[in-house]
Amino acid sequence: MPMLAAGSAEIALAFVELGAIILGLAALARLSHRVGLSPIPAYLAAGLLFGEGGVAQISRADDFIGLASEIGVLLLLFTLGLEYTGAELTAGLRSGWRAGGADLALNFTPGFVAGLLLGWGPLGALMLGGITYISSSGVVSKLLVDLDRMANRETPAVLTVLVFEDLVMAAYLPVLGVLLVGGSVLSGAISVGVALAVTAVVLLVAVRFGGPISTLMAARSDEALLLSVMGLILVVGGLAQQVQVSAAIGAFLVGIALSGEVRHRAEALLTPLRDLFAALFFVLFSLRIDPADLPPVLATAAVLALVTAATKIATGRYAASLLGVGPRGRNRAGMALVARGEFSIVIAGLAAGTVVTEALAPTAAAYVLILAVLGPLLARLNPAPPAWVGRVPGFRRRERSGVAR
Amino acid sequence: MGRVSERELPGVGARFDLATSDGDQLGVVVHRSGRRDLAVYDEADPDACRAVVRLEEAEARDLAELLGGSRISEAVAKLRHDVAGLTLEWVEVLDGAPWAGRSIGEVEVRTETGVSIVALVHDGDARPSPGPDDRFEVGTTVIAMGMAEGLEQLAERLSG
Repeated sequence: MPMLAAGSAEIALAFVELGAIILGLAALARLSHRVGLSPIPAYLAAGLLFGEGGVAQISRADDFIGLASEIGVLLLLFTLGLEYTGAELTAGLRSGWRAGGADLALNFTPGFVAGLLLGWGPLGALMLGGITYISSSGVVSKLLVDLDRMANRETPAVLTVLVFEDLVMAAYLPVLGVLLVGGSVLSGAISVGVALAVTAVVLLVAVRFGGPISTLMAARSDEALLLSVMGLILVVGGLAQQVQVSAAIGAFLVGIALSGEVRHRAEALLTPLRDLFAALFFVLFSLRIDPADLPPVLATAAVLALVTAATKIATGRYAASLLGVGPRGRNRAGMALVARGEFSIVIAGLAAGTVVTEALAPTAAAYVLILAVLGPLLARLNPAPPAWVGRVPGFRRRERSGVAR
Repeated sequence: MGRVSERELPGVGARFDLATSDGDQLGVVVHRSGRRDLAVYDEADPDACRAVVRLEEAEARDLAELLGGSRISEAVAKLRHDVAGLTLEWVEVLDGAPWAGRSIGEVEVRTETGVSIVALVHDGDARPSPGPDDRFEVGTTVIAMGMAEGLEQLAERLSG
């Protein structure tokens, strides 16, 4: 039967291609962990090196990689939601609004302004703002553990900023999802309202009724739990996409809704899956970028990276000063927050196939590439802050009051 | 017990700080996973740690055993386990509270709130199983066991 023969040859080729890609990623992950860096920049760099041509070469496994990378985004957002309990998010909003607000103002603005200056329009600017705003909670948490800083007194400040960013994402992603679909101003405004209302309601349900939902999901066997949670993520994600709230936010809300022991087990079960699918997402994201598009955006990305590294350091220093932490601790908090990573790429990935400028993806890739490497290096080396940092008006005052406390 | 303060670490667990009478600052990070970090703070930079010891759950138990603190907490954990709905609560007696300075028998704790007073701790001196003549002196930490509702009533009268 020639049909079957052709089919199995096709499958064989797809397996080999997919396997080769995953083995390549494995080598990169191994290397990154050895030098103490996040593997994300390595995945991105690999994708960029192979460039656009790479997609054609892996065409046989392309269908699977496309879907797998979408699932990777869902799992990234799911584990982000899983990271904090509803109670922690509520507490974060109440006690972290000052640090979180400063974080938003200092780090969203540079990206937004740059987007406008580059002529990307309000939507492109909104996306670039989001990309420069959100720290990589994965990289930051790993740094805190690796550098034995969990007990440090500035660490609650760092975590508060991350919790607040988590909350901002819950509002930002649905708005962005709706705006990317486009349409008239009025229908857009209505859709944004609907999307935010749906998100708020689900968030409330998740915080209030997280217990019963988790009890419902609870299963003795790991297998049953894994399948239940995975199924729920996909169904809620799909439904959210249907009402234009973006599948990612649906997955995020599922993560928040899980609590107690189920959440603990789900984290252990789904983190390996996330690592697999997210790796495919990162490499596909950068594979789709034409290497020729990279050099023109390099200068922009570098300037943006330097500016927003400085603004993140200022954010961390301010957040730590609110807790009465001394100068050195404030500095550590700032350096720890510099890394941008998975969520900046998730935001940029949402732009694929929409009206937003083509320069966004290569800019985001170059930007994350710089800061996902620079961030951990700064946090490890912890250099003394340049003298001008203390001279920023308003900053000094805070520091004094911090010491006095 | 010395002055222990607690701080939430969102996404991680909680941190407990303790100052020894010798002047050392200690911290214990309780991870949700059960892991514990034992930290000794740096004198030169009090926000950072001079040393951090990572302990798995079983190792933390072993260390607690060596330090002699495990008998009480284990007994309590067992009790909690045995009777569902029963909670142990630490309540500090504050100046001006309705029951401050009065004796256990006088205010009829058991009849009023339904909780049992397990111990009174004053200046590090523990008095287990106190009698009706023992008083709720200001500054005493009252360890009581009972249903959540009764414990709430007790807390109101001792620190309200």
